[in-house]
Amino acid sequence: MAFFGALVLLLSSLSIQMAALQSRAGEFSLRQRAQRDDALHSAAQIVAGQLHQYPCLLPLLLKEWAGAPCVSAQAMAALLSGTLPPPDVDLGRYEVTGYTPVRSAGAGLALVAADLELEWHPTRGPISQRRYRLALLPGPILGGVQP
Amino acid sequence: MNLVDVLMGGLVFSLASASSLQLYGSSLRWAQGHEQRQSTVMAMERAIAEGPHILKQQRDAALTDAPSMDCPSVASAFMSAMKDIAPPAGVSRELQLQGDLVSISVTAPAVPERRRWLSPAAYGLCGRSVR
Repeated sequence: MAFFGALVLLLSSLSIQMAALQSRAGEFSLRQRAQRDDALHSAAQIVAGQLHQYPCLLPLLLKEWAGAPCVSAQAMAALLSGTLPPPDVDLGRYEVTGYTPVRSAGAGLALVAADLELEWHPTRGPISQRRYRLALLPGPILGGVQP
Repeated sequence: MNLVDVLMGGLVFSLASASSLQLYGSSLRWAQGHEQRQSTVMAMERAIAEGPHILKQQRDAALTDAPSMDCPSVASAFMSAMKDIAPPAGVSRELQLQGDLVSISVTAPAVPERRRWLSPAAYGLCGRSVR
């Protein structure tokens, strides 16, 4: 009787420990996911901001330009990959792995948006990919990064 | 069955009941804490989402204006607009300007801090026009 009672207590204690461990693991996973989402959104903002400021980079990315590049190869590489500003510089690196133009038949095949494929390489954790649509319209700039 | 067995049985039963009541209480407390953390996490998400919302409003208000060339000034104006908006209850928000970018840091008790960087240029508020 005493043996079975002790066994019951031992099993209860083990199951409480397992539940506590699972809860902590779940919270860590949520924190990682939130950090990953924030990092990807931030990287998309940084890249989109640079593209809006330097529109000559758009045909360069699309390989449709003919002539002298508007920025150096080094600046181009910095656009396509980088880190977040301090203090998040050690969180990881982002990379633009794909850039697909979206043209509108109604606007004479004008470039109206671009799909940006971003990869996030965290310092700790798995690599994540996400696709963002960068809205671009001719004339006054109207656009933004869509998650 | 003798007296010792009865006493041992009673002792084991009491210990088991006490343990299960403690477990029940702990799981209730955990569930309440979890619910509170969830609502705090959602409040933090709202506090962060206010940033892009303000930028979109500023973009819509500036439809016919030529974009400014001075991105740091535009970023600073965005920061001032954000500071006028109180974050959700239980959450504190801090803004930091770094060149053309603004970071929104959101903190709350017992929940990890979140930070997201925003670029007013990405919303067409500054920089050159796209042709």
